[in-house]
Amino acid sequence: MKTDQLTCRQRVTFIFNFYPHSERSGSVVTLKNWQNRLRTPDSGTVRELSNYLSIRLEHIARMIEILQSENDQWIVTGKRDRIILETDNIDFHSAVDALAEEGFRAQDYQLDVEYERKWGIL
Amino acid sequence: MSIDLTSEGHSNTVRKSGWFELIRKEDWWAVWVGLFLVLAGILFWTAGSSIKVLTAQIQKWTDFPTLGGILSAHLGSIILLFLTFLILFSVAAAFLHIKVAPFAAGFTVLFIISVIVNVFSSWGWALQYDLEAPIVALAIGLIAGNLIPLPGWFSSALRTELYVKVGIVLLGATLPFTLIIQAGPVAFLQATLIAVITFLVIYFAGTRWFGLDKPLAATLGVGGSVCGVSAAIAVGGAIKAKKEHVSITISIVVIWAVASIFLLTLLIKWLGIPAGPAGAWVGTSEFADAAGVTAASAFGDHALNSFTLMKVIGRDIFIGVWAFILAFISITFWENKKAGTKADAGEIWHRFPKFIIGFFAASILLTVVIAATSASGRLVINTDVIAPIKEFRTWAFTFTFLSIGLTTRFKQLTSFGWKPFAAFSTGAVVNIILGYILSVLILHNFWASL
Repeated sequence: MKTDQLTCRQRVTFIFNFYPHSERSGSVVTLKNWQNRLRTPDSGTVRELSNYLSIRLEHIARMIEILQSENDQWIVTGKRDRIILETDNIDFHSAVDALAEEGFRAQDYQLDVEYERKWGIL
Repeated sequence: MSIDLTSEGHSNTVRKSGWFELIRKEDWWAVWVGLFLVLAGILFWTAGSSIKVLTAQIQKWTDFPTLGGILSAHLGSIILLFLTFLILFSVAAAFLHIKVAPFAAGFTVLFIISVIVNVFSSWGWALQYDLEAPIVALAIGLIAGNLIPLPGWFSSALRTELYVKVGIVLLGATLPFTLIIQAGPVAFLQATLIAVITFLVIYFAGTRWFGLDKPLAATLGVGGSVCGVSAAIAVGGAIKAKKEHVSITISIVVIWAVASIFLLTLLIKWLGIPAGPAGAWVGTSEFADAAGVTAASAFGDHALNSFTLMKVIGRDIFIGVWAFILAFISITFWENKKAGTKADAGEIWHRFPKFIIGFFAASILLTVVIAATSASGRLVINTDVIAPIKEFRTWAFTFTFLSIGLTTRFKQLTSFGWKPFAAFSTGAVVNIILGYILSVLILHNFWASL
């Protein structure tokens, strides 16, 4: 299929939450849990959070590097608790495959795919 | 020439959502433009005047002296009508990031062609051969759009979706809300029954007979059963279908939608089906709103009303529900786990076609105004408010018919194999037959008596 004959555009959004949903009910201390436990903080809680954040942020940085090596036209936005990458210049399958090759799975990121009709389509 | 104006220099911006959508979405601008005209109609009426001065209905003519007389008598109204639409659509264009100067120039040409189409279809000779404005505009558009390279500035004014949605909001003002409440459940049941059967036929034909991927079969299924391209892109995103799958579905939907305009129109005329059931049949069996409006308009207001009840109330409203259900099925049964699909109930509102809110609001507004008016006042509302709104609607639909033709470039559609086309066509044929049985044979009296 010729790409100039595609009748739709694909917009891909990767969201890297600092505290993924999949880990919020697990053993890892999330920010929310940690805040709830502030009344009785101890050194172990602080170290646990520190270790978690260190690993998680390193993973996010690596995923951003992987995606940027696949496509250099990402719009990157930083939020309080997440980083968002958006583009319509890459098919999401190749981005997901690139992440999977480095061992990252669906639970490591949130992926939104949005299609829109090309101009003039009924 | 390939024109792509979706980006218009803004593809690489962070998507805004929430309240920002109220001024950035075409759907919402259809609501604002439509409701502005309805409110203007009511305000003019309460001030003892009428928006009739802004509308122009071209009467039947048989010779050129008569035509000259009609045009000179309506010239002022035609110019005021043009200026009204030009200003409203240009404001919408500015907020939608469409360059206003080329849009205004293109809209001027579109309006002039619309006047010519209306003049032609009011000609006694054309009436004699049933050459109604929708079919004439569509045919002119298809021929010109596929044979003549159109300049970009003209193309920027060919906003099929905006025009048809404005027309549907205006149509809401001419439909009593009580009628929508009365006919809505029947439309919903009929549309849902046929949509579910059509979806299942396309899905099972695609996966069992023609060996298609499940996501492709599902995208084809919603395209052929729910709401054409809108449903295909909604579900395509929700189940994370491949770009090629969505593109193939859109191409097949466009071909079938345009072919169905002619097919359904011919079948209805050949079978001599009355307007009400005819509109319901079109509403059940056409995939796209704009294409359906084109086919139904050829049979008058009654057909347009039953078409809208069936298509808008019975089908369009539920795009988000379909997207949510299929996302759930996708993650539960088909999922390629590494793609991370998530079934999100927020899809139901996110995918809801917002112009339908304008359709309901316009209907409720006029119903309340009429209910609060005396019997003699209602006659005045009919002539001074509703009749001019119908005229605005007719013109908005004429822009739609022309835009469909002028933007449907068959050679630019995605190439696809015979298998997706065969799967889709199997469902489309079943849909047309079921639509006929329910609209014309079983519920004939219901739709005829609306």
